[in-house]
Parts: sequence; structure tokens; C-alpha cells
Amino acid sequence: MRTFITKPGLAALLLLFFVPGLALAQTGSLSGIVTDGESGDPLPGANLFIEQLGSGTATDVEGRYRVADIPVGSYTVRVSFVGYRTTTRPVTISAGANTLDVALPPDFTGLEEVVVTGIASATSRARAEVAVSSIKTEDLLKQNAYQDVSQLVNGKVAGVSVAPASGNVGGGIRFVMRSSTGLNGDGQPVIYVDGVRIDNAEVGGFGAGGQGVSMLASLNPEDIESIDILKGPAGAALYGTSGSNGVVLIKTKRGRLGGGGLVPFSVTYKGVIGANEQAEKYTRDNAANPDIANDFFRNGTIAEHSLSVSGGSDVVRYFASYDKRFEEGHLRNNEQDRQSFRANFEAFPLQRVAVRANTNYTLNQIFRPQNDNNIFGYLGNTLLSSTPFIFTDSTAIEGIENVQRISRFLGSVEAEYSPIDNLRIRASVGFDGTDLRNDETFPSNLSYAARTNGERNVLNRRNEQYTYDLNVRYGYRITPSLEATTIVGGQAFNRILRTFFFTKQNFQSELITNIGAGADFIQGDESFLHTREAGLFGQQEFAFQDRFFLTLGLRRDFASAVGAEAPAIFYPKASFAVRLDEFPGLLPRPVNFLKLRAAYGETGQLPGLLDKSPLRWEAEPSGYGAGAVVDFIGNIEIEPERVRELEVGLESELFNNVGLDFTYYWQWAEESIIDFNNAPSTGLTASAVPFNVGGSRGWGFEASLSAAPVRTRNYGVDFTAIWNYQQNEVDDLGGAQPIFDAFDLNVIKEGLPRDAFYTWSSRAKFNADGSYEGAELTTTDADGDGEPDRKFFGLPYPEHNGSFSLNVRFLRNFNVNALADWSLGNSVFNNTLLFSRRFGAYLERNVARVQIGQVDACAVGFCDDQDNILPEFQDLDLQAFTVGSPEYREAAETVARTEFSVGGVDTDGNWIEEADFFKLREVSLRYDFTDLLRKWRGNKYVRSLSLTIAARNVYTSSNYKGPDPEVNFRGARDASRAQDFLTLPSPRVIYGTLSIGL
Amino acid sequence: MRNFLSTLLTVALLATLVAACDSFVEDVDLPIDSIDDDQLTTEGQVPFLIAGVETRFATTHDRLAAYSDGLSDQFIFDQRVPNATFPSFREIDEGDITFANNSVDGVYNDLGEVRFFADNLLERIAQIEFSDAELKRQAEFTGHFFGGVARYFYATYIALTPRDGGGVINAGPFIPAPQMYDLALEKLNAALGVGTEAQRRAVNTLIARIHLYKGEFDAARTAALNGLQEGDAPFQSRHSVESVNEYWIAAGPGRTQWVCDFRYKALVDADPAEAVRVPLTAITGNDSPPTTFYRQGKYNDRDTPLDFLTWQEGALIVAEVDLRGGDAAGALGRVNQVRASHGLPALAALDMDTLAFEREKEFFASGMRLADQRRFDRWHLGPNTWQFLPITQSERNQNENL
Repeated sequence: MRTFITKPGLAALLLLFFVPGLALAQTGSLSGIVTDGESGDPLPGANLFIEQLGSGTATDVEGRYRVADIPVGSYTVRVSFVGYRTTTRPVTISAGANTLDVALPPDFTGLEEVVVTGIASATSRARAEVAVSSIKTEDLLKQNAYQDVSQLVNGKVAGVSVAPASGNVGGGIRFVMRSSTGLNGDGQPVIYVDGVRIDNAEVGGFGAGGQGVSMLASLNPEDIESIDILKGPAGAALYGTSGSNGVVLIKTKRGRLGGGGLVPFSVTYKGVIGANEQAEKYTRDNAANPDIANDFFRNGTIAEHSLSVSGGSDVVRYFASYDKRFEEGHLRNNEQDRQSFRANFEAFPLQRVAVRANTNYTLNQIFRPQNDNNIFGYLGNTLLSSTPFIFTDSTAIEGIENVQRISRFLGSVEAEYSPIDNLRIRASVGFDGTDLRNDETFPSNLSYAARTNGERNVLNRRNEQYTYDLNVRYGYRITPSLEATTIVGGQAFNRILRTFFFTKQNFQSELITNIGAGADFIQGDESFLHTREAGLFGQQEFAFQDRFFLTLGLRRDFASAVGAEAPAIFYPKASFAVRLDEFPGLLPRPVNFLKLRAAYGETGQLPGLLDKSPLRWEAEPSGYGAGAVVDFIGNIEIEPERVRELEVGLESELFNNVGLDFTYYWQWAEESIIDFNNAPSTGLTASAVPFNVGGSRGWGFEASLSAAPVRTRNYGVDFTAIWNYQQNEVDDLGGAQPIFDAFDLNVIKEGLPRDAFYTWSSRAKFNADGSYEGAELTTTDADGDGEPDRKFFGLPYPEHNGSFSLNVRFLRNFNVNALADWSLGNSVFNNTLLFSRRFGAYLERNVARVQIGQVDACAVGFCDDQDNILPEFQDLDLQAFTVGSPEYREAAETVARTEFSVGGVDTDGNWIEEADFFKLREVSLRYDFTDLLRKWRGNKYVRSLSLTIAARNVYTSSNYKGPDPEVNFRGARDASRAQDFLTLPSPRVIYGTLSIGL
Repeated sequence: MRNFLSTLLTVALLATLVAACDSFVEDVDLPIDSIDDDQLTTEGQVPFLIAGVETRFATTHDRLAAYSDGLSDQFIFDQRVPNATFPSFREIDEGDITFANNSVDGVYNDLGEVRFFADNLLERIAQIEFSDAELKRQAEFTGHFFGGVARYFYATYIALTPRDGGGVINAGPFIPAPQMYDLALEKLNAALGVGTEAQRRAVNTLIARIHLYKGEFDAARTAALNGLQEGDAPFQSRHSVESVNEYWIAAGPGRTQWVCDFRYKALVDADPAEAVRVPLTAITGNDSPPTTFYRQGKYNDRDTPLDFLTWQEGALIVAEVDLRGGDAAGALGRVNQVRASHGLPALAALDMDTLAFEREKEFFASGMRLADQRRFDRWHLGPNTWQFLPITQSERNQNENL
């Protein structure tokens, strides 16, 4: 039924009748300007709300507002604007014109920011009971151009780091969340976009050596409005199973009423041109043929055009965008061409009903170069042997084409209904569908090992994910000072994944490459996976006197399991915060905000879908037809891993503009699924057998300091420093042997941090006369197991890391922005150098061998045909040292620690290097013409204009001998971590950006 | 009363939601690429199980043969050979093999599977009511024969220490080679009881080989005489494009990592007719000036089958036993019979060296050289080097009986 009068209108009417002193028809108007409290700049789009009337308005492009026909009387006016502290002011309206100018104090430390604190809860940072990390992208996107969402996150928030596994455009990305305590899964958070749980896989497809393609590469960063991160179970408990590594909540842009509500729509264009270039050249110290390797690199073109339209009315709002980004990698055969279409709608058909639809379609095409553990790789053929292209000819390397074409639809429909005040029912359905096709072609006219007359590979991967969400939230007051909120809801998730591939060889002509043209079938297969998860949750929140905050919650989770009853598990949570600044006189004057908080929560990691199946068989094709062979050995008793987290922390603000946040956390993983290998003589080795016997614990802190020491009309300086410390230790493997990655280096072992490097190393042994006898292991068989003992060689991730970001505004419209990040306590296994030593091309070793008289300089490639030292080696000290001298002993130690095998074991520890680094990650300079445009009276259409030049990976300082200490040759998800083996380093990126708002 | 009803309704709603969640997550489509163990208990699935045993035999036989040739003096590993990169192959070539050598790991795991699949097949068919007697017989033969082959493989190719051949069954204690051979013979004799005539001849040839390796020469001769005869097809492991002959991918056109010792080139240069038994293909090294290497030319396609048992082997076993017994003329006749089958001229005389050389050429690139080097005491590497592939780290870690 249509109503004749709205509730605010009714209130106004009642006021007319009942408020003493009001006379019928006696009204006044209120107008004024809302400005920045420090710079005095007008604030367009600020909201002004008259509490007693329940209505308000927004400021125009000059920060001005006017509200007419206000009955005379006394009112409270609340003025708010993003990035500023909400301010309330009393005002008395008399008949005629009244004026109220409001200067809003900037919210330097973001206390008023609304942040997500749980599955259906959001509050201001000032009231949050858990450590929250929230990224508002508006300023970042103005100041820089980003290839993917990972670049929007890295260095911006505490407790989370994100790094690509290589310099491949579109390559895999690994999130490192706090101490990554759980032993199961790949350590990656669950990612939601507008309420849809998205596919975050790294798809390897046909091997290009080790690097896959990240499904996150198909998300357009320009569409993102905010990213909220719940970093562990304390915050993510009600997201249930799989939330143990945290939850990343991405919200895309919604329609805004442009220019303070006065313009029905606004158009924004952002044009970017740029280049990817080699950041660090290879040298003779880390490459056998540095010049040839460097010649493969190029200045890869980047061109991006992003157009968006946003606007609407009080009833319907919309945001629509088109983005095209073309990007060549800094190495040949690496390229991305992405087109993204988005349309987000929001409608308010009735006063208590909101309907939202978010849709996104992306077409992405990513060409991958051959590298890493690969005889067809650019780097493998130039860095290892002094004879280049020993495995594959350079033309043949360039002839390989490996392309993934991805089309992705990501959409959700959401309805929100408030049948009564403070009761909100929200339901949403979301879908993420990805269709990926990987084509790989080895031309028939070029020569490749194991490929007869060329090869064609075709793979299709179709992934469908459905997310269903329903929750009810009711806020009420139990007493005047005790607020309460009850939330109940449920979530369901359905995933279907199908893959199919086909390989043929023997093509008569390189000109025809369709798979039907190949004469020889090589292989083909398909796979199918269907999993479902569901959960029910309830949460009760209390707020007492705006000082004490308490939340209790519980979730019951269910998941699919083939061949057995579905596992179900309870996850509880509890959190508490107290605002000490709300106790008058308790804190010294400089401390204007201080909140202490504690939170506890539990989540888990699911076992594999088949883990409860005792024994499964598959068909293996062979010369006998397809035979039954064991595929999987499971355990009927298996349950999810449970991860608990307790965090305590504080948020504070001093002098109104210095924010200091600190959180300390402990995590415990229990019932971790440890895979026990059967003895091979049992014949049951097709898979390891899962048992819930593991345990580990992690701990650490994250701290951030932000301040805005200078802020005037023309100048401003603000900065943020972040420092994270994280540790973990494996407590219990239930008697299982240590679990190693496929390359026998990263271990899960009792008493050691997860994925620690655990192997052997060697040192020099000398004869009585001081001459070098040979290499010996640095450990013995102290434990008497018949094998020399391994030892700890460091971590593949940092113990300490952090970032420093600085923003300087000068001459009013210039902005300089810089972000640096750093990492301490991490190591990298330099397998590239190890293999160059295997091929006799490692310079440091060859020099040392000459120095101890083991070989002649000409025997290790330092001479020309006439046995003269080549000019490029004449700076080396190639004399033989006196036996027993300190120089001799030092050279002998170098020879010994550049061995790769001693005493029957692999001395990989010799090649594990400390890889602390400092990177100047982002630098940008922007000039904003908007002020000038405002002053130009002839301008009717251009709302904003800015020019930016920016660079990424500007400078790296590291003691790692390779060019990039952040790479991993097995991509971003593998158990092998921080292993550099012919992996493409990250590029330096240069951008120029033009942004226009109409 | 109202409160009670509300509570009841709430509890009922919750129970419904919990049940709904339960049935929602259980309503998933099953995988298409694997089945539960209890689905393989019918007669109709027995051919599938038999093919599984044979499949795993093939992937074990080719790798044991290729790697043992790598460990023997037949193949060499040289990084000047384009694409020769595997450290695990270098270790094998040098006889300095780590327990964690991942090439050995792979084939050792497969060997465990052949043994398990064969033994498991016998247990499984014992529970099945067969309507097809021939199928039952074939299944029994497969189980016994490949169970015997697996035990023979352990005794011949695997060792606990560099010189102590033998293996492990089902995480039990180490079984030295002589006892392991006896276990193999037990299985093979059972296979004789259910095999066809042709199958029995193949089994006898393997029995003869085992007796020969054990030094039981009379038994070897007897079995060999009952084994494959001239005109019988060899018993081979079969390969396909999806189950590639390891020689093709590790020492052949697919990817060349192993190449032949240079003496094979000299051998063929000296007697070009031997190229029939010792086919070689020249490849250019990546050094400067480039060295010419020679790889085996016997397995030039992915699916080229690999001989496991031949009538020629039986003849050479009889010849060896006769020669050891002093019947050189009889032995020479059998050796020349074998040579003639390849179109090679007859030898005029025969001694043990010549016979060993004949075996080396006859069994070129088939995994037979390693055992002969041990038998004829012609080891080419240092004193502490491995003469077998080691029981792997994984077995040593998981097997409390070792």
C-alpha cells in the first residue's frame, strides 16, 4: 500500500503541531559552506543531516548547501564526509535565512571509517573489536596504475603481504597472512567480490616451466572501491571452514550522485601508457651468458584505457565501466590483453527495500614465456652453460606459443529489506564462472626434445562457483545505555570444476596447427570435481555506554565428502573492546583515542573431497589397454583441521593526527592433516594417507604508525609505517617423518617453522700441509640413523617485514607518493647458481679453483684460443695462492661450499642465501588541475583533470645474488617456496596517466 | 505456553536447517576418474584388474632396465649431451646414488605396486564366483607370474647396501637376493601350474635366468630347455604413446640424457654387421668443438616394446652352462644359432669371455648388463659404488623393519 506521508515528513508535521514556540507557516532556511578544517578548502559532496527532521542534503561542487522550509526552532545538525570526522552542531532556525558554516576536522587515522568486522557485521574502526585492515582505493588509483589486485594490497596494510611468484605478467600471486600457522591447504585466504566467493586458483595448464596464471589477473583493479581483510580466525570465524587463512572482501564501485547530487551522472576516463623493463641486469656473477640473457629483455608496452560512468537518483544508482589493458612483459612471449565490462546497479524501489546487482564480464588473454625448470626456457638456455642454447635453439624457444584465454562472468544479485526499524534482512546469490582455454603450440619446423614434428596442446578448464547468503540483523536497545545487535544467517557454496585436455604431435606443416592436423595422438584426459559447503551462524553484539563492546558468535559448518558422511564442525568466536578515552580524565591529554581489544576465534581447513575414501582406483592407459591402478588411499576417520587464534591489541590516536595501532596474536592449529607415506614395498604409494595428528602454533605482532605532521592549504605531509613480525613452529606430526616439498628442501618437521629450509651443506677439509683435501659435510650422523644429519638453513618467508608510505602535497596541487617495503629473515635457494656450477659456469667457484691451483685459468673458460686471459676476465685475481695462506684457505672454502653433492647427499644448503631486501616499490608524482578548472569560468564540462607519472620496483637492495629475492620457480601455491630456478624477475614499470572527470 | 511453542518452533527450524545443510553438501556428483575399492569385486572387472598388473609391469620393467643400463658400463651420462640435465641420472651413472634419488624413487614405488597389484589380484579373485573359467585361469596366471617377476626384480636390481642385493615386501624385513629369488621361484612355479603352453615356456625362461643368477647351473639349463624355443615370440613389456618406453624418453629420440659408452661405437666400427644387435644413432654434443655421442637406436618410438624374455636368452643360458661344464662345441652351436637369427656369421670358437661379449651384444639396452657385470666380476666403478639401485629413503623412513 502506498503511504501518503513518509516518516521524516510525519515527524516534521508533528513538530509543527507540538513543538512549543513553533508557529504555523513560520519557516526559515539554513545555508552555509562545509570546508576542510585545516586547509579551508570547500568539500563538495559532504552530507548534512538535521536530526530532528530526519532529512538533509549534500554540498555542491563549491562545498555549499541550502535547506529551505525548516520550521523555526532548535535543531542538531550532523555533517559528515568520507575522510573527515563527523561533526554535530546545534543550530537555531529563525524565520528567514540562517547561516551555518562547518569546518570538518580531517580523520587522519581513519577512526570513522566503516570497516568489515565479520560475516554480516560492519562498524567504525573506533568500535571494532578485531584488528581490521581496510584499503580504500580512491587515492591509490588516482596516484598510480595497478596491474592487479595484489598490487593494491601489498604494503598497504599490516599483517598481510602479497607477492607474485615471478615477473610474468598475469602470473601467480601468493598472499602471506600473519604467521600462516595451519599446516593444511595452500595458506591462501578466501576471497569475496561483492559477496561472491571467487575462484582464486593459479592455473598451470600446460607447463611453461613452473608459473601459472592467476585468476585474480582477471579482476580489474580500477573497478575496486575497497578491500577489507580479516587476517585470521579471530576475525574470520563466522566465515567458517576455509577461513583459517583469513578472508579478503573486495567491494566494487557503486553509483554515486556526482558533484554532490547536483549532476545526474559523471564520466571518468583514465588513460595509462607505460613500459615494463628489466629491473636488474644479469651479470657474469649470476649468469653464464649475461649479455645474451639481457638481450632477450625488452621495454614491453603498457596501454590502458578505462572509462566509467556513475550516477543516478535517489531511487536508482549505477556504475558502469569498460577497461582495456594491453601489456607486454619485459621478456618476449609474455603478454596480457584484458578487457573488463562492469555494470553495477542499486535501486531503492520502496523506502525499506534495496536491490543491488553487480555484474562483471572479463576477457583476458595471457601469453606465458617458457622459463623456470624447463629446457625450453629463455633463462635456462642462457644462464647455465657457457655455451648458450645447449638445450634448445633460440628460434625454437621463441617459436613456442602458450596462451591462456579466459572469459569470466562475476555477478551477484542482492536484496535488502527492513520490515521494521533496525531489522535488516539481506539475501544474495552470486556466481563466478570462468572458462579458460590454454593453447600451446610447438611449431613442426623447429626442433624440440620429446616432440616429433611439433606439438599442439589444448586444455579447457571450466569453473562454476555459486555463493548463497542469507542473514538477518536486528539492532535494539536493552537499556538506554546498552545496545545490542543479533545476527543470524546461513551461507552455502557450490563449486563444479571440469577440465579437459588433448595433445597431438607430428604436424606436416607449421602453417596448419589445428589439433586435427597432428598425426600422432599423445594424450588426453578430463577431470571433474563437485564440492559443496554450507554453514549456519549466529552472532550477538553488545555495546555499553559506547565504552564496552562485546561480541559472541558460533558457526556450524558442513562440507561434501565422497564415500562417507559429510564432516560437520562448530566454530566459536568471542571478542571484546573497551574505549578508555571515553572515561574522562583517565588518559593524558595528548591521547584523544585509545581502545583496547581482544578477540578469539576458530576456523579450519577442510580435508580433500576424497580423503574419507579408504582406497580408490583409476584407469591408466598403457600398451595393455587401460588397467586398474591405485589412485588414492584415504582415511575414513579424517576431520577438518582446526585453527584457533587469540589476538589482543590497541588502537590509539594522539594529538588528533597520530595513529598508533598494535596487535599481538597467537595461533594454534590442531588436528592438522598430516599425510603419511606408506612404505613403497606395500604398493600403496599412489597417495599419502591423511591423519588428523598434526599441530603447530604461530605468533607475531603487527604495528602501524600513521601521522600527518604537516597539513596546510598548500602543503601536506602524511606517512604510514607498518612493521610485522611473525613466527611459527610445527609442534606435532604424530610420529610422521618430516614432510618435504618435491625438491627435498622445504620441510614440515617437528620443532621447525613451517616450510623451513632443511638440508645439508659442506665446508673445506685440509691436509696436514694446509692444502685443500676436499669438501666435507658440516654435519655428522649424530642421531645414528645411518644418514648425515640435516640442519636448518632459514625460512622462505620473512620474520620481519613492513612498509613505509609517504605522501607529500606541495604547491597545493602537486602530490608525491612513495611506498617502500622491506623484509628481514627470509632466504632463497639459488638453484640457478647451483646449476650453473653443475655446468661449470659459476664464476666465483672457477676463480677459487684457479686460486687453489685445482685448475688452470684456461681450463675453466677464462682464456682465448691463444691462452691469453680474455679482456672481460682480466680484473679477476687468477693467481694461485700459497698453500696454507689465509687467501688460499678462503678460496678453498669457496670451492667446498660450491659443491652440490658431498658424501652421497645433496648439499643444497650451500646455495641457500639470505635474501633480506628493501624495495622502493611505488613512486608517483601527480598534478591535479581541478583547482585551475574551477577557476576557469569557461569550463562547464570538465570536473577534474590530473596528470601522473609513476614507477614501480624502482630500486631494490638485497644481499641475494640473483636479480629478485621474491621469486619461486614452482609458482605461487606450491609446497616448494622461495626457490629461484631460472625464474623471471619482476620488472621495473613506468607509467604516465591522464585522468579526466566529466 | 506461547514461549514453549516458540522454543519448539525455533528448535524445529534449526533442526530443519541443519538437515538441509547436511543433505545439500551430500548432494554432489561423484568423480568420473576414480572408483571405490569395493566396486572392483565382480568378475566383469577382472580384465581391468589384469590389465592394471600388466600396465604396472611395463612401467617398472622399462625403467629398471634403462636405469640399470645407466648404472652399468653400457650407458654414460655426460652434460655435453644436449638435454642431459638430471642430477639423479648422473648419480646413477657414477654409482654414487643418494637414497632420495627421485628417479630411483619413481621406479621403486612402481615395483612395490606391481607386487601389490599381482598379490592383490589373487586375493580378490579368490572372493569372486567365476562363470568364465578361462578368465579365472588368466587372472591366476597374471597374479602368480607378475608376483614372481616383481620378486625377481627386487633380487636383481635393488639393494639395501651397495653390494647387498635384495628387497622388501609389504614393509617387512630386508630379504636378501637369494631368498628373494626363492620367493620369485615359488610364484613362478605356481604360474607354471595355471599357464598355457606358451606361457609356461616364457615362465621357464625366467626361471632359468634366476637359477643362472643364483649359480644353480643345472637347474638353469633344465628350465631353459623347457623355455622359449626358436620361433617363439619374445615376451615383452608393451608400451604406448601414453605409457612411453623409458628408453625413448631418457636415452632415445624423445630426450637423450643417457648415451652409449664409446666402446659400442668401436664395436660396431670393428664389425658393422653388429649394428643389427647394437643399433646406434649419432648425436652432436654441445661442447666446442662438438663431440659426437651415440645413443641406442633400438627404441625409436614411444611405443616400441621392450624384450623381457627371448628364446635367444634360453639358448645362451644353455650355452653358458654347457661351456662351464666343458661342452664348448655344444655351447658354440647354440651361440651361433643365436647369431644366425640376426644374420650374423658363425663364430669359430667360444670361451667365457666371448660368451659374455655375446650376451652383452645380444642383450644390448635391455637391462641385462648390470647382472652380468656382477656375475662375471667386471665392475667398472670404484669399490664403494652401488651395484644395484638402493632401497629408497622413503622405504627406509616408513619401514620399521629396516
